[in-house]
Amino acid sequence: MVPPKLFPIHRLPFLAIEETFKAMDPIEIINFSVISKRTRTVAKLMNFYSKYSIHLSVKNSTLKVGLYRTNEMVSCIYGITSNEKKIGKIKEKEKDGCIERKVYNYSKNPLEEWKQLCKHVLDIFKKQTIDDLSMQMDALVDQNVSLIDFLKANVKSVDECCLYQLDKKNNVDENFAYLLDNLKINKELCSHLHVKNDNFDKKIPKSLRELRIYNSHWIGYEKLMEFVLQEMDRNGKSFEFKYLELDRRELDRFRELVLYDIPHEVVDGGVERNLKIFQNINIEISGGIDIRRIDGKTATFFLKYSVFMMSVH
Amino acid sequence: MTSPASSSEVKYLIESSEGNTFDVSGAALRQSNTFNAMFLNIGADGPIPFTDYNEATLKKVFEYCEHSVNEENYSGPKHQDDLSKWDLNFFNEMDQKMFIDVINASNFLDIERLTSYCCERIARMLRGKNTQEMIKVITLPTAEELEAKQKVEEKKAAAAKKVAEKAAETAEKTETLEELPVQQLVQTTRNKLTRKYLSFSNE
Repeated sequence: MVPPKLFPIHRLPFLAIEETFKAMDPIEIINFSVISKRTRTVAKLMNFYSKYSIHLSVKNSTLKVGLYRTNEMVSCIYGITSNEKKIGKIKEKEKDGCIERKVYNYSKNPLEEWKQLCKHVLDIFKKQTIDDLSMQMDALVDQNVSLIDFLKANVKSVDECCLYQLDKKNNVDENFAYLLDNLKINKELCSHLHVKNDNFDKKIPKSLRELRIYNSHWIGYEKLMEFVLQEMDRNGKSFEFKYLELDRRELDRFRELVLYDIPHEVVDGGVERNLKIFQNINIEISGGIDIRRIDGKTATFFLKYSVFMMSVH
Repeated sequence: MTSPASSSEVKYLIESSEGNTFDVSGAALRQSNTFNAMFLNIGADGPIPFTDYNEATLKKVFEYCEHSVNEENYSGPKHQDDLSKWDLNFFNEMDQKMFIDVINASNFLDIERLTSYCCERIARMLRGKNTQEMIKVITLPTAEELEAKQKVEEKKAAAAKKVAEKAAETAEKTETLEELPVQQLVQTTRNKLTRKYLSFSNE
C-alpha cells in the first residue's frame, strides 16, 4: 500500500531524500523547506541546485521568483501579489515540451514577503548571483532604492538585467543611476527606460556580453567612443562583448566622431552578410563598418530596422 | 553456490540478517553497483552477507532486479504514468515499513532504477502540495521528539562529563596517594628523630 499516509521522510537515507528532491519541482522544494527548521536544513543539503537558475521579477501587479532548470524542461514561478483574484491560483502551461508552472500567493505587503522569499530561496539554493533580474522601474518608485539596497546586500551580482517602465512620463533617472552604481551586472544589460536627463552621466558596466539601450540619447558619441575603445582593446583581458544595440545614429557621423583614429574598414552597401544579434538570432545586413578587435575577431557596426547595432563575429 | 560472475546463468547465495540464505541470479545482482564494486571481478567464496537487511526485504529487492533484467539500460527516472502494470503492482503491494526497508536496501545496494522509482513515488506524494498539505502527508520528528532527543543527548553529555570528572578526580587522588607515603615517611622520620633527640636530651 503505497503511497501511504504520513510518510516518515526523515527515516530515508540522504541519497534517497536527494533523489526524491530531484523528482520534485522547485516550488515543492520551497514549500517543503518552510515546514520547519529541520526541513530547511534538509533542503539546504542537496547538491544538485546548480542546475537551477534564479530569475527575479518586479512589476506592478506581481513580484516573482522564478526557478528554471538549466535544461529548461520545467520552470517554476512563485508570484506574490496583492491582487486577491489570484489567491492560490496555479497556472501551468506547456510550450514546445517545456512546462511552466506559476503559483500565486496573496500578501498585503507583497514587497516584504517577496524579499523574505528571495532571501529564503537564495539561502536554500545556495545562490549568490541572480541569473536574471527584470524590473519595472515605475512600479514601486518609492521602494526602488530599498529594493536595490536589498539586492546589493543579498547577492554579489546579476548576470542579466532588464529594466523598463510602463509610463514613459515617469521619471526614474535617479533610480536607474542608483541601480547602475550599486548592482554589479555581469553579462547583459537591456534598458527600455525613458531617461529624461540628456546629461545622464552614468558609466556603462564593463565586461558585458550584450548591451541594449533603447531611448539612448544620453549615450553621446564621447561615451560611445569610450565604450568602444574599452571593449575593443582590453589589454589582454578576456573579451566577452558580442552585441550592442542603441537608437539610430548615422554611420557616417559615428565614423567621423568615434572611429576617426581607430583602423576600420567601410564595407560596400552591396555586400550582404548574416550576423548574429541578441538571443542568437541571425539577420541579414548590407554593408556596415568593420573594425578588428585585438583578439582577431571582427566587430561590425550597422543600421538595421532604424537601430544602431554592433555584432562581433 | 557462488562463482565468478562471468556468465549470466551464475547464481549467488545471499545471506540476510536472520542468517537465511537464498539464490539470486548474477544478471539480477549485477544491477547493484555495490555488488559490482565488491564482488563482480573477484567472485565470492561463500554466501554474500547483506546482513543489515531482512530476508523479506532482500527478496523484494531482488524480485525487482530479476524482473528488470531484460529491460533496457537505465537512463534516468521514468514518469510514474509510464510504469508497467507489473511495476505498479510491485509497489502497491508493499506496506509502508516494507517500502522504507526496500528504499534503504536499494540505496545500500545502489540499484539506481529501483531507488529512483521509489523516490519518484515519494515525490509524487508531495506533488502540487503547499506547505500545509505537505505536513498532512509526511511525518517529521515532532518538537517533543526533538526535545526528548536533545535531552537524551544532554544527559549523555552530562554523564560523559561526570565520567571525565571522576576520572580526573581519581587521577588526582592517585597522585595524592602516591605523594602521601613520602610525606608520611618524612613526617614519621621527623617525629622519630625528634623523639630520639628528646630522649637523648632527657638522658
